[in-house]
Amino acid sequence: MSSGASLECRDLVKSFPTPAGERRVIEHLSMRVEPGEFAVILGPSGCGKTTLLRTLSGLLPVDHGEVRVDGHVVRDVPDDVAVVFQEYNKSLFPWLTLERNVRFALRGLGKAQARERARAALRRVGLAESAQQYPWQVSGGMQQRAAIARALACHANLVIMDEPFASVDALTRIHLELMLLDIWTESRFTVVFVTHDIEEAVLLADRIFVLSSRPARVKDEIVVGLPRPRDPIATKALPRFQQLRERIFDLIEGAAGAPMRRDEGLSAHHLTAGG
Amino acid sequence: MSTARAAVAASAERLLGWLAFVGAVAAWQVVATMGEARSVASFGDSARALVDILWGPDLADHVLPSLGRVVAGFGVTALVGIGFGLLLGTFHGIEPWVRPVIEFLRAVPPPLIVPVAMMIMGLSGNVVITVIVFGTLWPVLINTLDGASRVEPLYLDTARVFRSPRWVVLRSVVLPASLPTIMAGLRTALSISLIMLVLGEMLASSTGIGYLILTSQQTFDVPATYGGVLLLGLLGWTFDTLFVVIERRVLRWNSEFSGGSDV
Repeated sequence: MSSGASLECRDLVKSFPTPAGERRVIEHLSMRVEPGEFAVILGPSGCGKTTLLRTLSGLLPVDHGEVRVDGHVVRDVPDDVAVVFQEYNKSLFPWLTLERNVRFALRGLGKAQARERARAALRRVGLAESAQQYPWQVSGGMQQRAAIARALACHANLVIMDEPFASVDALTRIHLELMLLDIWTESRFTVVFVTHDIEEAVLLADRIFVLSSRPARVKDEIVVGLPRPRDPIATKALPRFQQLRERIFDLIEGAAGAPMRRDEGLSAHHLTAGG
Repeated sequence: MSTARAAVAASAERLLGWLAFVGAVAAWQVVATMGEARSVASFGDSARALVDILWGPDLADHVLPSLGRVVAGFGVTALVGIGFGLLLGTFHGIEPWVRPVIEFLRAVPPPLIVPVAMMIMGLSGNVVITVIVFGTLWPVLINTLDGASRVEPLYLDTARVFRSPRWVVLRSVVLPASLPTIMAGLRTALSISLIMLVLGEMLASSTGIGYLILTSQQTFDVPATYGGVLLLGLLGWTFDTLFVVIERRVLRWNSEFSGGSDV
Protein backbone atom coordinates (compact mmCIF):
# COMPACT_ATOMS: atom_id res chain seq x y z
CA MET A 1 0.00 0.00 0.00
CA SER A 2 2.59 2.54 1.02
CA SER A 3 6.35 2.55 0.81
CA GLY A 4 7.37 4.11 4.11
CA ALA A 5 9.17 7.41 4.22
CA SER A 6 12.37 8.20 6.04
CA LEU A 7 12.42 10.97 8.61
CA GLU A 8 15.50 12.83 9.58
CA CYS A 9 16.07 15.89 11.69
CA ARG A 10 19.35 17.58 12.31
CA ASP A 11 20.38 20.00 15.02
CA LEU A 12 16.82 21.05 15.83
CA VAL A 13 16.39 24.04 18.12
CA LYS A 14 13.08 25.50 19.28
CA SER A 15 12.36 28.12 21.93
CA PHE A 16 9.20 29.82 23.09
CA PRO A 17 9.02 33.36 24.42
CA THR A 18 7.81 33.56 28.03
CA PRO A 19 7.47 36.54 30.37
CA ALA A 20 10.73 35.39 31.98
CA GLY A 21 12.53 35.37 28.64
CA GLU A 22 13.14 32.74 25.99
CA ARG A 23 12.51 29.21 27.10
CA ARG A 24 14.31 26.54 25.14
CA VAL A 25 12.18 23.46 24.56
CA ILE A 26 14.30 21.55 22.06
CA GLU A 27 18.07 21.73 22.11
CA HIS A 28 20.23 20.55 19.20
CA LEU A 29 18.19 17.44 18.66
CA SER A 30 19.09 15.05 15.86
CA MET A 31 17.53 11.73 14.91
CA ARG A 32 16.90 9.49 11.94
CA VAL A 33 14.04 7.06 11.34
CA GLU A 34 14.46 4.50 8.55
CA PRO A 35 11.72 3.85 5.96
CA GLY A 36 9.11 1.44 7.27
CA GLU A 37 10.41 1.59 10.81
CA PHE A 38 8.31 1.83 13.95
CA ALA A 39 10.06 4.52 15.96
CA VAL A 40 9.04 5.64 19.42
CA ILE A 41 9.96 8.95 20.99
CA LEU A 42 9.94 8.44 24.75
CA GLY A 43 10.39 11.05 27.38
CA PRO A 44 9.16 12.26 30.74
CA SER A 45 5.99 14.35 30.78
CA GLY A 46 6.58 17.98 29.96
CA CYS A 47 9.91 17.36 28.24
CA GLY A 48 8.75 18.87 24.97
CA LYS A 49 7.59 15.74 23.15
CA THR A 50 4.52 17.41 21.69
CA THR A 51 6.56 20.40 20.53
CA LEU A 52 9.03 18.05 18.89
CA LEU A 53 6.22 16.20 17.17
CA ARG A 54 4.72 19.42 15.89
CA THR A 55 8.05 20.47 14.41
CA LEU A 56 8.60 17.02 12.88
CA SER A 57 5.19 17.11 11.20
CA GLY A 58 5.69 20.63 9.87
CA LEU A 59 2.95 22.20 12.00
CA LEU A 60 5.49 24.33 13.85
CA PRO A 61 8.51 26.09 12.30
CA VAL A 62 11.92 25.44 13.85
CA ASP A 63 14.32 28.14 15.04
CA HIS A 64 17.35 26.30 13.79
CA GLY A 65 18.16 23.03 12.05
CA GLU A 66 15.96 21.15 9.62
CA VAL A 67 13.52 18.28 9.28
CA ARG A 68 13.57 16.11 6.18
CA VAL A 69 10.99 13.59 5.05
CA ASP A 70 12.35 11.33 2.32
CA GLY A 71 15.14 13.84 1.88
CA HIS A 72 12.86 16.84 1.30
CA VAL A 73 13.04 19.69 3.78
CA VAL A 74 9.74 20.05 5.68
CA ARG A 75 8.16 23.52 5.69
CA ASP A 76 4.45 22.73 6.00
CA VAL A 77 2.85 19.34 6.59
CA PRO A 78 4.12 17.20 3.68
CA ASP A 79 1.67 15.43 1.37
CA ASP A 80 2.51 11.93 2.50
CA VAL A 81 2.43 12.59 6.25
CA ALA A 82 -0.59 12.02 8.50
CA VAL A 83 -0.83 12.95 12.17
CA VAL A 84 -2.92 11.29 14.89
CA PHE A 85 -3.39 13.55 17.90
CA GLN A 86 -3.84 12.54 21.50
CA GLU A 87 -7.10 14.46 21.91
CA TYR A 88 -9.31 12.48 19.58
CA ASN A 89 -12.33 14.38 20.87
CA LYS A 90 -10.91 17.57 19.37
CA SER A 91 -9.26 16.22 16.24
CA LEU A 92 -12.43 14.62 14.89
CA PHE A 93 -14.95 17.18 13.69
CA PRO A 94 -18.08 16.78 15.83
CA TRP A 95 -20.38 17.97 13.02
CA LEU A 96 -19.31 15.16 10.68
CA THR A 97 -20.15 11.47 10.91
CA LEU A 98 -17.19 9.12 11.31
CA GLU A 99 -17.25 8.33 7.59
CA ARG A 100 -17.34 12.02 6.69
CA ASN A 101 -14.47 12.64 9.08
CA VAL A 102 -12.38 10.05 7.25
CA ARG A 103 -13.43 11.48 3.91
CA PHE A 104 -12.17 14.88 5.02
CA ALA A 105 -8.68 13.49 4.40
CA LEU A 106 -9.66 12.38 0.88
CA ARG A 107 -10.67 15.67 -0.65
CA GLY A 108 -8.88 15.22 -3.94
CA LEU A 109 -10.71 11.99 -4.76
CA GLY A 110 -14.05 11.54 -6.53
CA LYS A 111 -17.05 11.01 -4.30
CA ALA A 112 -17.52 7.30 -4.99
CA GLN A 113 -13.85 6.54 -4.62
CA ALA A 114 -13.54 8.59 -1.43
CA ARG A 115 -16.52 6.81 0.09
CA GLU A 116 -15.10 3.44 -0.90
CA ARG A 117 -11.74 4.20 0.68
CA ALA A 118 -13.21 5.70 3.82
CA ARG A 119 -15.40 2.64 4.35
CA ALA A 120 -12.44 0.32 3.80
CA ALA A 121 -10.38 2.24 6.37
CA LEU A 122 -13.23 2.18 8.89
CA ARG A 123 -13.70 -1.54 8.28
CA ARG A 124 -10.00 -2.07 8.93
CA VAL A 125 -10.28 -0.51 12.40
CA GLY A 126 -13.51 -2.37 13.13
CA LEU A 127 -15.87 0.58 12.76
CA ALA A 128 -17.88 -0.52 9.71
CA GLU A 129 -21.08 -0.50 11.77
CA SER A 130 -20.52 2.97 13.19
CA ALA A 131 -19.66 4.81 9.96
CA GLN A 132 -22.81 6.94 10.05
CA GLN A 133 -22.56 7.89 13.72
CA TYR A 134 -21.33 11.17 15.10
CA PRO A 135 -18.19 11.19 17.30
CA TRP A 136 -20.14 11.96 20.49
CA GLN A 137 -22.27 8.89 19.92
CA VAL A 138 -19.34 6.47 20.21
CA SER A 139 -16.75 5.74 22.91
CA GLY A 140 -13.35 7.39 23.23
CA GLY A 141 -11.57 4.29 21.98
CA MET A 142 -13.80 4.23 18.90
CA GLN A 143 -13.14 7.90 18.27
CA GLN A 144 -9.42 7.29 18.31
CA ARG A 145 -9.86 4.33 15.96
CA ALA A 146 -11.72 6.64 13.59
CA ALA A 147 -8.82 9.11 13.78
CA ILE A 148 -6.43 6.27 12.93
CA ALA A 149 -8.71 5.24 10.04
CA ARG A 150 -8.49 8.80 8.73
CA ALA A 151 -4.69 8.62 8.78
CA LEU A 152 -4.79 5.22 7.04
CA ALA A 153 -7.27 6.28 4.39
CA CYS A 154 -4.97 8.85 2.86
CA HIS A 155 -2.25 6.21 2.43
CA ALA A 156 0.38 8.24 4.22
CA ASN A 157 3.97 7.04 4.08
CA LEU A 158 4.70 8.47 7.49
CA VAL A 159 2.21 8.46 10.35
CA ILE A 160 3.10 10.60 13.34
CA MET A 161 1.19 9.80 16.52
CA ASP A 162 1.14 11.97 19.63
CA GLU A 163 0.39 9.78 22.66
CA PRO A 164 -2.61 8.42 20.80
CA PHE A 165 -3.63 5.93 23.49
CA ALA A 166 -2.92 8.03 26.56
CA SER A 167 -6.57 8.96 27.15
CA VAL A 168 -8.26 5.57 26.76
CA ASP A 169 -8.73 2.91 29.40
CA ALA A 170 -6.11 0.16 29.87
CA LEU A 171 -8.02 -2.63 28.13
CA THR A 172 -8.97 -0.53 25.12
CA ARG A 173 -5.37 0.56 24.97
CA ILE A 174 -4.08 -3.01 24.60
CA HIS A 175 -6.57 -3.62 21.79
CA LEU A 176 -5.56 -0.44 20.02
CA GLU A 177 -1.85 -1.23 20.34
CA LEU A 178 -2.36 -4.66 18.82
CA MET A 179 -4.53 -3.26 16.05
CA LEU A 180 -1.93 -0.64 15.23
CA LEU A 181 0.82 -3.27 15.08
CA ASP A 182 -1.31 -5.42 12.75
CA ILE A 183 -2.06 -2.55 10.42
CA TRP A 184 1.55 -1.42 10.39
CA THR A 185 2.73 -4.96 9.61
CA GLU A 186 0.35 -5.10 6.64
CA SER A 187 1.13 -1.73 5.12
CA ARG A 188 4.63 -0.87 6.35
CA PHE A 189 4.37 2.87 6.48
CA THR A 190 6.83 4.55 8.82
CA VAL A 191 5.52 5.30 12.31
CA VAL A 192 6.80 7.94 14.70
CA PHE A 193 4.97 7.31 17.93
CA VAL A 194 5.30 9.61 20.92
CA THR A 195 4.64 8.25 24.40
CA HIS A 196 5.67 8.65 28.01
CA ASP A 197 4.94 4.99 28.78
CA ILE A 198 8.03 2.76 28.85
CA GLU A 199 6.19 -0.55 28.43
CA GLU A 200 4.22 0.76 25.51
CA ALA A 201 7.43 1.97 23.90
CA VAL A 202 9.24 -1.36 24.25
CA LEU A 203 6.21 -3.34 23.13
CA LEU A 204 5.72 -1.37 19.92
CA ALA A 205 9.06 -0.04 18.76
CA ASP A 206 11.89 -1.07 16.50
CA ARG A 207 13.84 1.89 17.75
CA ILE A 208 13.34 4.10 20.80
CA PHE A 209 14.63 7.63 21.13
CA VAL A 210 14.84 8.43 24.82
CA LEU A 211 14.61 12.15 25.43
CA SER A 212 16.10 14.15 28.25
CA SER A 213 13.86 16.42 30.26
CA ARG A 214 13.47 19.99 29.06
CA PRO A 215 15.12 21.13 26.93
CA ALA A 216 14.65 17.95 24.95
CA ARG A 217 17.69 16.21 23.55
CA VAL A 218 18.12 12.62 22.43
CA LYS A 219 19.61 11.02 25.49
CA ASP A 220 19.91 7.57 24.06
CA GLU A 221 18.82 5.60 21.03
CA ILE A 222 17.82 2.02 21.71
CA VAL A 223 17.29 -0.71 19.13
CA VAL A 224 14.65 -2.97 20.62
CA GLY A 225 15.23 -6.12 18.58
CA LEU A 226 12.41 -8.13 20.16
CA PRO A 227 10.86 -10.72 17.82
CA ARG A 228 7.65 -9.91 15.96
CA PRO A 229 4.74 -10.40 15.99
CA ARG A 230 4.64 -8.92 19.46
CA ASP A 231 2.07 -9.78 22.02
CA PRO A 232 1.21 -7.89 25.20
CA ILE A 233 1.52 -11.04 27.34
CA ALA A 234 4.24 -13.15 25.70
CA THR A 235 6.49 -10.27 24.66
CA LYS A 236 6.34 -8.64 28.06
CA ALA A 237 7.39 -11.96 29.65
CA LEU A 238 10.66 -12.10 27.69
CA PRO A 239 13.83 -11.44 29.71
CA ARG A 240 14.99 -8.93 27.12
CA PHE A 241 11.76 -6.96 27.57
CA GLN A 242 12.49 -6.70 31.29
CA GLN A 243 16.10 -5.67 30.66
CA LEU A 244 15.10 -2.96 28.21
CA ARG A 245 12.44 -1.68 30.53
CA GLU A 246 14.87 -1.37 33.41
CA ARG A 247 17.55 0.22 31.28
CA ILE A 248 15.15 2.85 29.97
CA PHE A 249 13.73 3.34 33.42
CA ASP A 250 17.19 4.21 34.71
CA LEU A 251 17.80 6.53 31.78
CA ILE A 252 14.58 8.43 32.37
CA GLU A 253 15.08 8.51 36.10
CA GLY A 254 18.34 10.29 35.46
CA ALA A 255 16.67 12.63 32.99
CA ALA A 256 13.89 13.61 35.36
CA GLY A 257 16.40 15.46 37.52
CA ALA A 258 15.64 14.59 41.12
CA PRO A 259 16.54 10.89 41.29
CA MET A 260 13.72 8.72 42.53
CA ARG A 261 14.24 5.82 44.89
CA ARG A 262 13.37 2.60 43.16
CA ASP A 263 11.46 0.89 45.88
CA GLU A 264 9.83 -2.46 45.42
CA GLY A 265 6.62 -2.29 43.40
CA LEU A 266 7.39 1.00 41.70
CA SER A 267 6.56 0.13 38.12
CA ALA A 268 7.22 1.98 34.95
CA HIS A 269 3.59 3.05 34.96
CA HIS A 270 3.96 4.65 38.35
CA LEU A 271 6.93 6.61 37.24
CA THR A 272 5.28 7.93 34.12
CA ALA A 273 1.99 8.72 35.78
CA GLY A 274 3.69 10.91 38.33
CA GLY A 275 6.30 12.49 36.07
CA MET B 1 -38.48 5.45 35.76
CA SER B 2 -36.79 8.78 36.30
CA THR B 3 -37.12 9.75 32.65
CA ALA B 4 -40.83 8.93 32.76
CA ARG B 5 -41.17 11.06 35.86
CA ALA B 6 -39.25 13.88 34.18
CA ALA B 7 -41.59 13.64 31.18
CA VAL B 8 -44.62 13.88 33.45
CA ALA B 9 -43.10 16.88 35.23
CA ALA B 10 -42.38 18.54 31.88
CA SER B 11 -45.92 18.10 30.58
CA ALA B 12 -47.28 19.33 33.91
CA GLU B 13 -45.16 22.44 33.54
CA ARG B 14 -46.41 22.92 30.02
CA LEU B 15 -50.00 22.55 31.18
CA LEU B 16 -49.40 25.19 33.87
CA GLY B 17 -47.97 27.48 31.23
CA TRP B 18 -51.10 27.19 29.09
CA LEU B 19 -53.32 27.65 32.14
CA ALA B 20 -51.50 30.88 32.92
CA PHE B 21 -52.00 31.94 29.29
CA VAL B 22 -55.72 31.28 29.54
CA GLY B 23 -55.74 33.19 32.83
CA ALA B 24 -54.11 36.19 31.17
CA VAL B 25 -56.72 36.17 28.42
CA ALA B 26 -59.48 35.97 31.04
CA ALA B 27 -57.97 38.92 32.92
CA TRP B 28 -57.87 40.87 29.67
CA GLN B 29 -61.54 40.03 29.12
CA VAL B 30 -62.42 41.20 32.64
CA VAL B 31 -60.63 44.53 32.17
CA ALA B 32 -62.33 45.05 28.79
CA THR B 33 -65.85 44.35 30.13
CA MET B 34 -65.32 46.53 33.21
CA GLY B 35 -66.07 49.55 31.09
CA GLU B 36 -62.74 50.29 29.48
CA ALA B 37 -64.12 49.38 26.04
CA ARG B 38 -63.01 52.74 24.62
CA SER B 39 -59.36 51.89 25.18
CA VAL B 40 -59.34 48.11 25.58
CA ALA B 41 -61.09 45.83 23.09
CA SER B 42 -62.30 42.48 24.38
CA PHE B 43 -60.34 39.37 23.45
CA GLY B 44 -63.21 38.20 21.24
CA ASP B 45 -63.39 41.50 19.34
CA SER B 46 -59.61 41.58 18.95
CA ALA B 47 -59.52 38.03 17.65
CA ARG B 48 -62.31 38.85 15.19
CA ALA B 49 -60.37 41.89 14.02
CA LEU B 50 -57.31 39.67 13.58
CA VAL B 51 -59.32 37.29 11.40
CA ASP B 52 -60.61 40.28 9.38
CA ILE B 53 -57.05 41.44 8.79
CA LEU B 54 -55.97 38.00 7.62
CA TRP B 55 -59.04 37.38 5.46
CA GLY B 56 -59.50 40.85 3.99
CA PRO B 57 -57.56 43.15 1.68
CA ASP B 58 -55.20 43.95 4.57
CA LEU B 59 -53.47 40.62 4.02
CA ALA B 60 -52.11 41.68 0.65
CA ASP B 61 -51.82 45.38 1.49
CA HIS B 62 -50.13 45.15 4.86
CA VAL B 63 -49.36 41.67 6.19
CA LEU B 64 -47.53 40.24 3.22
CA PRO B 65 -45.35 43.34 2.69
CA SER B 66 -44.34 43.14 6.35
CA LEU B 67 -43.44 39.47 6.01
CA GLY B 68 -41.45 40.25 2.89
CA ARG B 69 -39.51 42.98 4.70
CA VAL B 70 -38.64 40.72 7.62
CA VAL B 71 -37.49 37.96 5.30
CA ALA B 72 -35.46 40.38 3.18
CA GLY B 73 -33.95 42.24 6.14
CA PHE B 74 -33.15 39.08 8.05
CA GLY B 75 -31.73 37.47 4.92
CA VAL B 76 -29.41 40.40 4.21
CA THR B 77 -28.30 40.40 7.85
CA ALA B 78 -27.58 36.66 7.79
CA LEU B 79 -25.57 36.88 4.56
CA VAL B 80 -23.62 40.03 5.41
CA GLY B 81 -23.21 39.29 9.12
CA ILE B 82 -22.02 35.70 8.69
CA GLY B 83 -19.88 36.52 5.65
CA PHE B 84 -18.06 39.46 7.21
CA GLY B 85 -17.92 37.78 10.60
CA LEU B 86 -16.15 34.75 9.14
CA LEU B 87 -13.69 36.92 7.22
CA LEU B 88 -12.89 39.13 10.22
CA GLY B 89 -12.64 36.14 12.53
CA THR B 90 -10.28 34.22 10.25
CA PHE B 91 -8.03 36.95 8.93
CA HIS B 92 -6.93 38.41 12.23
CA GLY B 93 -5.07 41.22 10.50
CA ILE B 94 -8.28 43.03 9.50
CA GLU B 95 -10.13 42.94 12.79
CA PRO B 96 -8.22 45.68 14.69
CA TRP B 97 -8.89 48.08 11.79
CA VAL B 98 -12.63 47.64 11.66
CA ARG B 99 -13.36 46.90 15.30
CA PRO B 100 -13.76 50.58 16.37
CA VAL B 101 -16.17 51.22 13.49
CA ILE B 102 -18.24 48.17 14.41
CA GLU B 103 -18.24 49.09 18.08
CA PHE B 104 -19.38 52.64 17.27
CA LEU B 105 -22.16 51.57 14.89
CA ARG B 106 -23.30 48.96 17.37
CA ALA B 107 -23.46 51.57 20.13
CA VAL B 108 -25.79 53.79 18.04
CA PRO B 109 -29.38 53.07 19.17
CA PRO B 110 -30.89 51.35 16.12
CA PRO B 111 -34.06 53.55 15.95
CA LEU B 112 -31.81 56.49 15.03
CA ILE B 113 -31.25 54.91 11.64
CA VAL B 114 -34.88 55.73 10.73
CA PRO B 115 -34.44 59.49 10.12
CA VAL B 116 -31.10 58.92 8.42
CA ALA B 117 -32.51 56.26 6.10
CA MET B 118 -35.55 58.46 5.35
CA MET B 119 -33.31 61.36 4.34
CA ILE B 120 -31.41 59.11 1.99
CA MET B 121 -34.22 56.93 0.60
CA GLY B 122 -37.46 58.78 1.18
CA LEU B 123 -40.54 56.74 2.06
CA SER B 124 -39.91 53.56 0.10
CA GLY B 125 -40.19 50.04 1.51
CA ASN B 126 -36.43 49.82 1.38
CA VAL B 127 -36.21 52.16 4.36
CA VAL B 128 -37.89 49.54 6.53
CA ILE B 129 -35.58 46.81 5.26
CA THR B 130 -32.57 49.05 5.90
CA VAL B 131 -33.82 49.74 9.42
CA ILE B 132 -34.21 46.01 10.07
CA VAL B 133 -30.72 45.25 8.74
CA PHE B 134 -29.16 48.02 10.83
CA GLY B 135 -30.84 46.78 13.97
CA THR B 136 -30.07 43.10 13.48
CA LEU B 137 -26.64 43.05 11.85
CA TRP B 138 -24.51 43.53 14.96
CA PRO B 139 -25.47 40.51 17.05
CA VAL B 140 -24.92 38.28 14.01
CA LEU B 141 -21.65 39.92 13.01
CA ILE B 142 -20.19 39.96 16.51
CA ASN B 143 -21.29 36.41 17.32
CA THR B 144 -19.88 35.07 14.06
CA LEU B 145 -16.63 36.95 14.58
CA ASP B 146 -16.27 35.63 18.11
CA GLY B 147 -17.13 32.09 17.07
CA ALA B 148 -14.74 32.15 14.12
CA SER B 149 -11.83 33.56 16.10
CA ARG B 150 -12.25 30.98 18.86
CA VAL B 151 -12.27 27.82 16.79
CA GLU B 152 -10.60 24.92 18.59
CA PRO B 153 -6.92 25.08 17.44
CA LEU B 154 -6.78 21.31 16.96
CA TYR B 155 -9.55 21.55 14.32
CA LEU B 156 -7.32 23.93 12.39
CA ASP B 157 -4.25 21.71 12.90
CA THR B 158 -6.23 18.76 11.60
CA ALA B 159 -7.23 20.75 8.54
CA ARG B 160 -3.56 21.59 7.98
CA VAL B 161 -2.46 17.99 8.40
CA PHE B 162 -4.80 17.03 5.57
CA ARG B 163 -3.71 20.04 3.54
CA SER B 164 -7.11 21.67 3.13
CA PRO B 165 -7.05 24.84 1.04
CA ARG B 166 -8.01 28.04 2.81
CA TRP B 167 -11.56 28.32 1.47
CA VAL B 168 -12.24 24.70 2.44
CA VAL B 169 -11.06 25.48 5.98
CA LEU B 170 -13.40 28.48 6.05
CA ARG B 171 -16.41 26.61 4.71
CA SER B 172 -15.91 23.16 6.21
CA VAL B 173 -14.16 23.87 9.50
CA VAL B 174 -14.54 27.49 10.68
CA LEU B 175 -18.19 27.86 9.64
CA PRO B 176 -19.52 24.66 11.22
CA ALA B 177 -17.32 25.11 14.31
CA SER B 178 -18.81 28.56 14.94
CA LEU B 179 -22.36 27.58 14.01
CA PRO B 180 -23.64 27.29 17.61
CA THR B 181 -22.64 30.91 18.36
CA ILE B 182 -23.87 32.07 14.94
CA MET B 183 -27.28 30.52 15.54
CA ALA B 184 -27.51 32.24 18.93
CA GLY B 185 -26.82 35.57 17.22
CA LEU B 186 -29.37 34.87 14.50
CA ARG B 187 -32.04 34.10 17.06
CA THR B 188 -31.46 37.41 18.82
CA ALA B 189 -31.52 39.12 15.43
CA LEU B 190 -34.84 37.52 14.57
CA SER B 191 -36.61 39.00 17.57
CA ILE B 192 -34.99 42.40 17.00
CA SER B 193 -36.12 42.27 13.37
CA LEU B 194 -39.79 42.41 14.41
CA ILE B 195 -39.13 45.40 16.67
CA MET B 196 -37.36 47.23 13.86
CA LEU B 197 -40.10 46.26 11.39
CA VAL B 198 -42.85 47.85 13.46
CA LEU B 199 -40.77 50.90 14.22
CA GLY B 200 -39.86 51.44 10.58
CA GLU B 201 -43.41 50.94 9.39
CA MET B 202 -44.85 53.33 11.99
CA LEU B 203 -42.43 56.10 11.08
CA ALA B 204 -41.49 55.64 7.48
CA SER B 205 -44.05 53.61 5.59
CA SER B 206 -47.64 53.68 4.33
CA THR B 207 -47.98 49.91 4.30
CA GLY B 208 -47.32 47.08 6.73
CA ILE B 209 -48.60 45.82 10.05
CA GLY B 210 -46.90 48.65 11.98
CA TYR B 211 -48.62 51.25 9.76
CA LEU B 212 -51.93 49.37 10.10
CA ILE B 213 -51.77 49.39 13.90
CA LEU B 214 -50.88 53.08 14.01
CA THR B 215 -53.70 54.15 11.66
CA SER B 216 -56.20 51.93 13.49
CA GLN B 217 -55.27 53.67 16.70
CA GLN B 218 -55.52 57.11 15.08
CA THR B 219 -59.01 56.32 13.67
CA PHE B 220 -60.17 54.92 17.04
CA ASP B 221 -60.62 51.43 15.60
CA VAL B 222 -59.82 49.86 18.95
CA PRO B 223 -60.42 46.17 18.01
CA ALA B 224 -58.24 46.45 14.87
CA THR B 225 -55.45 48.00 16.94
CA TYR B 226 -55.48 45.05 19.31
CA GLY B 227 -55.94 42.64 16.41
CA GLY B 228 -52.69 43.98 14.95
CA VAL B 229 -50.95 43.54 18.27
CA LEU B 230 -52.19 39.94 18.46
CA LEU B 231 -50.98 39.35 14.92
CA LEU B 232 -47.48 40.59 15.75
CA GLY B 233 -47.31 38.47 18.87
CA LEU B 234 -48.39 35.47 16.85
CA LEU B 235 -45.80 36.22 14.16
CA GLY B 236 -43.01 36.57 16.70
CA TRP B 237 -43.95 33.28 18.31
CA THR B 238 -44.18 31.51 14.95
CA PHE B 239 -40.81 32.84 13.78
CA ASP B 240 -39.12 31.78 16.99
CA THR B 241 -40.68 28.32 16.94
CA LEU B 242 -39.64 27.83 13.31
CA PHE B 243 -36.17 29.04 14.16
CA VAL B 244 -35.78 26.57 17.01
CA VAL B 245 -36.86 23.72 14.71
CA ILE B 246 -34.30 24.76 12.10
CA GLU B 247 -31.61 25.27 14.73
CA ARG B 248 -32.12 21.76 16.09
CA ARG B 249 -31.80 20.38 12.61
CA VAL B 250 -28.71 22.39 11.71
CA LEU B 251 -27.00 21.61 15.03
CA ARG B 252 -28.14 18.03 15.38
CA TRP B 253 -24.47 16.96 15.56
CA ASN B 254 -24.14 18.99 18.72
CA SER B 255 -25.07 16.81 21.69
CA GLU B 256 -26.52 19.82 23.48
CA PHE B 257 -29.19 20.10 20.82
CA SER B 258 -29.75 16.40 20.29
CA GLY B 259 -30.56 15.52 23.88
CA GLY B 260 -34.20 16.33 23.27
CA SER B 261 -34.31 18.84 26.08
CA ASP B 262 -36.28 22.01 25.66
CA VAL B 263 -34.14 25.02 24.87
